[in-house]
Amino acid sequence: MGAMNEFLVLDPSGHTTTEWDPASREQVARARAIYEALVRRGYRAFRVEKGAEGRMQERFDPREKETVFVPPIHAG
Amino acid sequence: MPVEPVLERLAQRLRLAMAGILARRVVPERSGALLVASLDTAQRLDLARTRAFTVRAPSGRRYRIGVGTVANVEAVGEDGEAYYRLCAAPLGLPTPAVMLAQKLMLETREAEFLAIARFTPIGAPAHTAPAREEAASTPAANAQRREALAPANPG
Repeated sequence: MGAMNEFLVLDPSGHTTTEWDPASREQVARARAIYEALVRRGYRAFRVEKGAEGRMQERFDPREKETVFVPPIHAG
Repeated sequence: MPVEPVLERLAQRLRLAMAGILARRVVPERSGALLVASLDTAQRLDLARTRAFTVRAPSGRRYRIGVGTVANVEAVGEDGEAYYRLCAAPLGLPTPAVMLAQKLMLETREAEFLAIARFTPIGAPAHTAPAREEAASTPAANAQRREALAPANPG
């Protein structure tokens, strides 16, 4: 098992982390399903690097080490 | 191998870490760690000193995100003066997670954020202050302000 990739979904606890192995076809398929389900619910995906600006992620990329999911925003 | 670049990198890491320790005092919740990790050294120091940090959007505009979840984003000019307060956020998240969401949206999806946000003008000089009905946060007034702030090349 190699280095794990992470999905961090912002939620009421702060965030929930889901780890998956990019070398495992089965786990990549599961990660893709999670990604697409969140995007369908209006979540936005971002690639985040420590101490740097976020980058928009338009589609699932199994090479991304860390993806942050932001729930839909609303006017206050 | 030259020593100076190595020392400079170490010094940069140390500055980033020290700024992170200071910033974490402002956002001590669990999600504060994720927010602080996404900030650069200057933003971390800003957060520690002023309870806010500034991001630059794709349009070049700057926004100040303060500690909070409601009306905590300000559009600021180059001189740092705020001219609009913006209110848009995901619902039900702790404060640092809301701030991270706003940071990511403004850095990459500014037009989408502006299309959703409620606008409140602030700090307008008396001679340029809009009339009361114009200043109110009506849908029509918000649409006008969005147009004024919208990036020239959205996306």
